[in-house]
Amino acid sequence: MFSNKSFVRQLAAVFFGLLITVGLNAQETKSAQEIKIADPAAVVVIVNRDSNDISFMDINTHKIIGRVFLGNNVNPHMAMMSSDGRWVVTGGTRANKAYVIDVATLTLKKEIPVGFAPEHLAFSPDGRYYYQGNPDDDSVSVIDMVSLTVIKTIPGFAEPLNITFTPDGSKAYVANYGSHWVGVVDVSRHELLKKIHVGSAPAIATFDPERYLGGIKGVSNVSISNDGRYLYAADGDLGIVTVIDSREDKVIKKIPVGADPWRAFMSHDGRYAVTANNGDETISIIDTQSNEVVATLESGPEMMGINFAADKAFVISSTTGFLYVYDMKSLKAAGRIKIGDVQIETATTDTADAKLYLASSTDNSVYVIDAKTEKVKRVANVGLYPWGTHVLDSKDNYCH
Amino acid sequence: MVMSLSGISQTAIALLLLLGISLAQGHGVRDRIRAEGLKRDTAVSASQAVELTLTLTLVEVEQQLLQTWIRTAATIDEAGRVLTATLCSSEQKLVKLGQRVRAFPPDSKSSIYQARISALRAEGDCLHVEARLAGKAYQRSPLYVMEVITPRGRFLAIPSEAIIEEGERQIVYVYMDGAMGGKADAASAEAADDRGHYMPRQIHRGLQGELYTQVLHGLNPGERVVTLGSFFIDADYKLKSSEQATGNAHHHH
Repeated sequence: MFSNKSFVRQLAAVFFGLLITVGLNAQETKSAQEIKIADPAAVVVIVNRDSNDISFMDINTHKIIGRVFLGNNVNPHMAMMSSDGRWVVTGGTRANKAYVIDVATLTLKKEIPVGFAPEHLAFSPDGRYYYQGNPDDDSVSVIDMVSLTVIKTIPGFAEPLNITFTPDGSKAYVANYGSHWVGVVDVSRHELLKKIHVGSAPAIATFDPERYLGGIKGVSNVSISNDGRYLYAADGDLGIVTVIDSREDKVIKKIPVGADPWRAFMSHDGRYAVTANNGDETISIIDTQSNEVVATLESGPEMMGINFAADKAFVISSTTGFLYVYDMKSLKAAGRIKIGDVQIETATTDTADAKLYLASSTDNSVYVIDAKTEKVKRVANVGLYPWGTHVLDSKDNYCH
Repeated sequence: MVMSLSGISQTAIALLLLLGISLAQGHGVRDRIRAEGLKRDTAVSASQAVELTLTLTLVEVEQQLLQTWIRTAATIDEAGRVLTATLCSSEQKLVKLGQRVRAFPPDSKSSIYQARISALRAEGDCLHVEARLAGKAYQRSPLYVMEVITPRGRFLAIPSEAIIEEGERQIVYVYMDGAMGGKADAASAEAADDRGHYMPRQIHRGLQGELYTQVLHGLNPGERVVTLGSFFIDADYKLKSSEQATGNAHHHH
């Protein structure tokens, strides 16, 4: 028999036990609700320039899982996910800020003031640093991804666009579109170590550099070979691709290509570097073993990107709404795909090299292209003016 | 580090003995230059810290998703689709079907492939692991480096680099705002005024993830700890403490 006191004590214990259990369950439920993306490899990240947000699309169902609004007049330019899938970062070109999004909960974790007009960016291979290029003040902001703060601003560039890290993370190569050199950054000190001149500036620029400064079409990107040994830097004004040995940071070859090459895109097997030459509407295919142009093929105007999948290259001709297709085995043209009367921007490829996710700005859509069958599926209303897409570990994560 | 500290302590004791100071006081100096004895009077002010370090960053103590990345060598099948590895370490129990894998040939680190754990089989004390690549591997490398990303859950955690190893103990430097009575505020290190300072605190850690380490005891959510620059603050703290200890010893005699 229980005494009254002991019964009351036991009743109270049961009551409080129940309360604790209910509380814990509520907490677990809350935690479960907070996690919106459990698998960061199963989403397509979409940069919506004019709705100032980043949307996340399920890569299998093509449903929008959620959006993260960054703020008014931000204009995100490019997004990238950290290799651990923890963060998505983007530079807000009109806000002069970098934005860090928590992928699991789809929340804006931090806004970080950086330089003027941030556009292109890259993570160091270990995910520790996020380099944000600021083309309008010729600097690169170094963001520590542990404390989410700018720990250094590296000055001295000339309209820095894309940034490429070596696989060991010791150096970063910064492409300068406002000049004809590539900046080599020592990542341990975050300092500009060296300028590698890819070629001589056109003679006319030397007469009146100020007048022609704004018109320079220099190096927009440095593409790295699969083994990390060689770098391929296309220069728009010079119409060349310069090959740089990353061990010594020296130019080993200058390869003439078509007019006004935008950048060299590396095929996934590393065998070819392909330039989109907007000056003469061709592509140049460079064999990376011989470093010779092995094919020059007609393409379309205003090419913004090249993706590789199913042994083909897909070249984005922005204003025509066409994807030009090339067979990468025969190195011959293989037709073109009409996306629509739209302006298409850039695309990413999934990790299976099976599907492309193409941002189409003027109809607020992403087009999913099956690389093998070339069937196209439209996913509408992804956000306003989608500017680019990103998939974790894709080999075709790039921006304009 | 421990050896040199021990060496310094022994030298300090010898000097104190020569100066006629008792061994008991000498032992006190040793304690003072270690964190256990350094928690009352000594502090590194925020402004000093900024001068000391080229870079100083703080991070708030909060719930973090911990991941353990298991790295191992793997072979690849003829078709370039399936990676195979054998895990014999204690980490094998963390590997589950469907987990994400990053893989690359050792001489081709720019080319990362994504894969998923597709088969697991016990082999004695070890675990046979297979991972299917999302696409076909282009490089005909005999070996691949395989990184299995195993999620461990959300825990109260801090960046691993914030932790200073002191023998068997783990110390972190906590930002203390004088005006807030030690409670962390939202101000950045740059904005910290002279009232702010950094104090060491012993913590007890739990799981160690790729970037973050779980904190079992010693820190509360919302407190801010030093990450980049903690080494310099630690060095200055110890220097000031030993000077203070020496000053006290001289004062007593």
